[in-house]
Amino acid sequence: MISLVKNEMYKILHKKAIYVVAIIALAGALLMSILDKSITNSFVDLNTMLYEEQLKTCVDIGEPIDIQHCAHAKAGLEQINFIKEKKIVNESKEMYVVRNDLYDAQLEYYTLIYSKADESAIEASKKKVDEAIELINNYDAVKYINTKMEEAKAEQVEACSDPNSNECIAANDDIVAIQYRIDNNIPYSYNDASSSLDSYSSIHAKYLDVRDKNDKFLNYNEIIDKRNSEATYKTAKYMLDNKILTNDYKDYSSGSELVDGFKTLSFFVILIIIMLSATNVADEFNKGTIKQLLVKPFSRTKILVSKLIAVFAVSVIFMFIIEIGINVIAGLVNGDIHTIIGKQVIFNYHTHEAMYMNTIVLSLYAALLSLPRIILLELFIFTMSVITTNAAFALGLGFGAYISEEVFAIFMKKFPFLSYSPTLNYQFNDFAFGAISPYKDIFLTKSIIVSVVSFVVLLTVSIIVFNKKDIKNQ
Amino acid sequence: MKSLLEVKNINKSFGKKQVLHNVSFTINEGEILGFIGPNGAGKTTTIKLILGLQSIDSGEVIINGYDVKKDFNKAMTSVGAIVESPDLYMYLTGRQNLKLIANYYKGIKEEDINKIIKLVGLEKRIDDKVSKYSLGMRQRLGIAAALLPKPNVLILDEPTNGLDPEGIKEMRELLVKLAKEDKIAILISSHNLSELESFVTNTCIIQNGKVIKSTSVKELKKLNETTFKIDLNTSKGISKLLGKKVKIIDDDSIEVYVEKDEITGIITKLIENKYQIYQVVMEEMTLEDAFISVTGGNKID
Ligand SMILES: Nc1ncnc2c1ncn2[C@@H]1O[C@H](COP(=O)(O)OP(=O)(O)OP(=O)(O)O)[C@@H](O)[C@H]1O
Ligand SMILES: [Mg+2]
Repeated sequence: MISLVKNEMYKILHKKAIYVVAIIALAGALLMSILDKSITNSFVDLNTMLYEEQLKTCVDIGEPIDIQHCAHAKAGLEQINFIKEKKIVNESKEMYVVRNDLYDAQLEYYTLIYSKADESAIEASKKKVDEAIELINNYDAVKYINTKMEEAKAEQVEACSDPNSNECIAANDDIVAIQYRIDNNIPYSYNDASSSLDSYSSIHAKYLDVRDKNDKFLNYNEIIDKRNSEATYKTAKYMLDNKILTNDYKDYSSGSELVDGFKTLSFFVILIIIMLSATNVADEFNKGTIKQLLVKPFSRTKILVSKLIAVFAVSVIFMFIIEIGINVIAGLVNGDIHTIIGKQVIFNYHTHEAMYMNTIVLSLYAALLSLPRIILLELFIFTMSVITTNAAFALGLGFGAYISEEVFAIFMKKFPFLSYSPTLNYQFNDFAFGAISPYKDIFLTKSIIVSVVSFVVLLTVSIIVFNKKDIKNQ
Repeated sequence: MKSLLEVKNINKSFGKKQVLHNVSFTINEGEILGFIGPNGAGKTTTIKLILGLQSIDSGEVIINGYDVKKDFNKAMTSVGAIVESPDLYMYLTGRQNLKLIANYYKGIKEEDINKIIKLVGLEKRIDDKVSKYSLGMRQRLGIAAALLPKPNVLILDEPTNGLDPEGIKEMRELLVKLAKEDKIAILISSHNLSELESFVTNTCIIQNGKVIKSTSVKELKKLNETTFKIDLNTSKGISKLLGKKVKIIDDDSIEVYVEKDEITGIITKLIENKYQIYQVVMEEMTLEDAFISVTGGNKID
């Protein structure tokens, strides 16, 4: 049996097509990361066009104009002009002030102008804008933090008239976060640590808001929302408590592309699975080599199963090559390999606790949870290919199955039976660490049953058909 | 003598069309059976049934004492085969193809592979991709692949297809040697009888899915009616005397179709009836003639 599997793998690995797909995937990744870099550079130009377009509707005095909308566009445009003029780069600390203090001041200023407020109010507002510009020109990170701390303390006094109110707890959190900045030297900026600290207090407020609501009275989206806010808050708290947030910390969403890759699987990985499964048996039938194979002293069941194992093994190997390759390339282009070797905090819904995990370990876990999808996709296409011995047909059905993952999800509300589709139930990454599926009708027990049943049915059908098959003349 | 391959009353239908009717034959060790029949006679179908490539409707196939239906793996352990055409992986080299095959059996060593390569004369091109081979080279590689598991039953479906005369000659010699020295039982199918005539030990003639003659080559020739041309004083009254076996050529010559040992009786009869015989010529019959006389030509129906 082992020699059979080895032979099958040998044959697959000697075909060119699979390498072509892998190379295209990696070349594509290289291109994308280069494009990605240049797109971030042209972010400013893109927004300029957008704001200018929006502003065109704001000059017509005859019609009542949308003040909010126009003030936003005008403030945005001013902000961009400022960034361009002063050559402020994305990663800089000044950028934070530009996009918060300066933007807020300008938004207020232009709102007053568009709403034709009185001169003195406008004058006062203009002053605030000048102050913000002054702040940027003589930027001092420590002073800036201290100012924020003072503001937060004032806020606290106000909010904590009722010490049990959510507002008070949020205000306290604000101070905790700012103190963390001071203690760990994390100035306001757009790095991931600063952003996490920024949202810390608001997350807590939201979490407290939904924490005590009974799931019975919530709809599915509200339940998801509740769970998410708990996860986000506890994750943030864990990072603060364990001093994980440092200036080079990468947060979950940007730090786990490798993990995400193994969760969703790149299209090229899917392409390889579909391609191999559709052609493996059909090609042998069409080229006649199946005859040579079937006169060997092995049962047909063994031959088919070894083919399944070989296709599966090669698919998994190429999943690793492509997913890791894409991230290594992106990491090299961006000069940041945190995405591959870093650690990250994840939330465990079983224990209701956050934990710190190695990206590699997480990737392996995600890869493991992707296996049911790979196996079932492969087995489905394999079965079709065995029944029809027509590679093109099996290939088409394979893509159909892949597309159905999205399409059935859309139509599931209207046609509830679609929730029994294996393609909606083989996504076990949705349940990682006790998470729940984004769809109400998909849950772990059902997914396990649907997956196991379809596995058994497909395997049985393919084995029976393969055993009964008369080898036709060519 | 041990029989290595026994085919017993096998039947096969595709839908309503029955393509094999009670096909039976046996090949003993050291024998080469020429399996002969016109296009569409059922040769390939029979071979596929023997090898388990298609299901047998009724009847049985025994290889090395094992029933193919019940004991497939054991039956196939020492069988080498080419069905229709050598089935090779075009994107691999000749050697890689052979290595794959070697992996299916225990105890085939690198040197065995090299020996086989030499045997079929492919040393120079063995590391080229099979897609670059000529048809004849592929056929040679196919034979190498069939011989690699050291089979004692070798089944070859039209293996000479694409071989040049030299190649055919080499193959013949190889098969004769294998049968003689290694006591292999060989089944070789062809619709071209003259190709097999010189080296097969037995023939089995199949037409429309029925075995119409199954015998040793010697017997086939002997058993079949031979043509004797007889010159005599007059051919009058001969038809009455000899019946259907005679054909009147002209006034003083006839042809009779009888088995060899009957000719003395005919001549005696003619002399008894006062005919004067000037000359009797036996027209030697080839296997090809025998084939045509048995099958009634190459009609496909
Ligand atoms: N899969 C099939 N479905 C229907 N009929 C078939 C099938 N395979 C073979 N036949 C029929 O069975 C008969 C025997 O075919 P077979 O291929 O065994 O002939 P053959 O003796 O090998 O001929 P050839 O010398 O042309 O190779 C033919 O009439 C053919 O049409
Ligand atoms: Mg044939």
